[in-house]
Amino acid sequence: MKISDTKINDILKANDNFAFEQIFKTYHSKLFAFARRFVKDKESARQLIMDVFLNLWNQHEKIELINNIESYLIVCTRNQCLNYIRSKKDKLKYYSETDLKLIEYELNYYQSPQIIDNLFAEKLQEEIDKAILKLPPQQQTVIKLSRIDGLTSGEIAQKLELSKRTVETHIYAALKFLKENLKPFIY
Amino acid sequence: MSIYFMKKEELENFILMYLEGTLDDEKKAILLKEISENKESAKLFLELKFIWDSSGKDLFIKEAESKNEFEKFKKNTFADKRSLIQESKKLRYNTFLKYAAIFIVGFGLAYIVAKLSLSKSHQEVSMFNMIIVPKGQRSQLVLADGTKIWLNSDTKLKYPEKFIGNSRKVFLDGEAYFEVAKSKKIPFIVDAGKMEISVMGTTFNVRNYPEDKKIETILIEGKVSLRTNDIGNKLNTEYILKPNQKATFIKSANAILITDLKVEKPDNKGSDNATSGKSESVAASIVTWKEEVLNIDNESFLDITRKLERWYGYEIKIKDTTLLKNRFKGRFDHHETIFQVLDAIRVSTPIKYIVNEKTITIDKR
Repeated sequence: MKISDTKINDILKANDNFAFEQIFKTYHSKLFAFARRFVKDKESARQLIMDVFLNLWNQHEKIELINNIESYLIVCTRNQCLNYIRSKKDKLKYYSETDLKLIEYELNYYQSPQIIDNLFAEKLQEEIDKAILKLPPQQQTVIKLSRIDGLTSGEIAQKLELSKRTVETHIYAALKFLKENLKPFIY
Repeated sequence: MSIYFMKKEELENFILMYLEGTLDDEKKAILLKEISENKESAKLFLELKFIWDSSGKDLFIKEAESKNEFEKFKKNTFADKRSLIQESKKLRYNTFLKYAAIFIVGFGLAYIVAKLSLSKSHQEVSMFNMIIVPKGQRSQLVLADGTKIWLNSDTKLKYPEKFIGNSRKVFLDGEAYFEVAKSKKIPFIVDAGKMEISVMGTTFNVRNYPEDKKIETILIEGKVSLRTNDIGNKLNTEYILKPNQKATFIKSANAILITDLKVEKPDNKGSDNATSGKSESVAASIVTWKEEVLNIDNESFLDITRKLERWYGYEIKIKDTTLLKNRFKGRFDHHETIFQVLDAIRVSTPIKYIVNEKTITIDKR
């Protein structure tokens, strides 16, 4: 569901709780998934998105400023992510200066509306799961250990008694395969 | 044909290691350089990162969880807007407790050293805590005796962990609002550097910023006595302040002036029957910062810029000093930004401003 921007402005101006609920429900999971790409700690991502909505709520009286709710929310979320990473509060990951620059580089990429639309595509998760099932068995095992269990190639190599190089090749091949299969979401 | 600065295989390997979190910082820098300079490499990096993230666990939130988040949100906002403010205050308070704890350690060490060197002196020494509130923040605390203190931006308060002896003394640099717990025997003393304020149990506000030319005390209720801290001066008299009075200590003159705070006549005649009846404390309506309301009460532009710097944590530079003498009045809510305040000023005064990160430069338009 997509709410038109004019309607959103009306909603916010009218200070309508029920309508605000619609906005929250439309965008919450999307923004969360977006933030999770940059924030490793799930709890922090949750709090961060909460802050994004609190900001929106606190802004609702002077909402003339908001032309496009979706870009507004994205910009807020991007900024929150950057602030969060800069503050080095992530319990699960230490960010060096170079990490920050890499993440900033990546965040800058997520600016065109089309890319963001794809990022938000509700079908994305479904498609990923489907594509993983299409992988050859060995690659499937390796990518699941890597992405679901969070093991490094070294750890997977040990577990499966394969060489590290082989595991890397499998992961790489799997990522490439997924990339081809999900092309419509990438562009 | 694309020319790789890095060999394709090496690049793939670097990206994979980056995704797994095993790439060292030096190599990350090489990767960053590569993707900044080579479009093809950037594309590969972004696409693989996208796939990597998308296939990870917990990227998406379950619908039920999302609903749950909304319930939390609703509780905080729809039901009672205030609880939200309190929540954020509580948060800030916690951070300051942490600061306080750091200072306790510091003072604790000093205390131990002193005790060792003075070997057998039995005097009880009270440990001091220090709370520092940075610019752009406000905080509050409750002392051991139950006294409540609100601290405005850019303020330092030194207070004992518990009160010992026949006075309750705290040291203030900055602005604070006190609700002093009543005690007939033990006076509560605010040491504001050049001036001391002594009370039994009252509510009052003290503004004592080192860079300001004056120290202001406004009494909301009860009674306070004031005295300059000029110990050698035998003429150092005690001044008594009544509710709705303001004491201004002028640093350069070393003198205290007492003025009555006046009720503002509302512009709108039609709606002033409420004010003519029961008089709401004038003083309370002036001291609004603790309600997170920024009040500008016919103040000069110079005073206002200082206030804004503290309130919002920006640095303000004034290019044209002729602006400094203009005076303004206004009230701003806690959610209004510094830009909204400046825009309000701009309505009546020809100014323009340029923002550069945390610095704002103001010039004549």
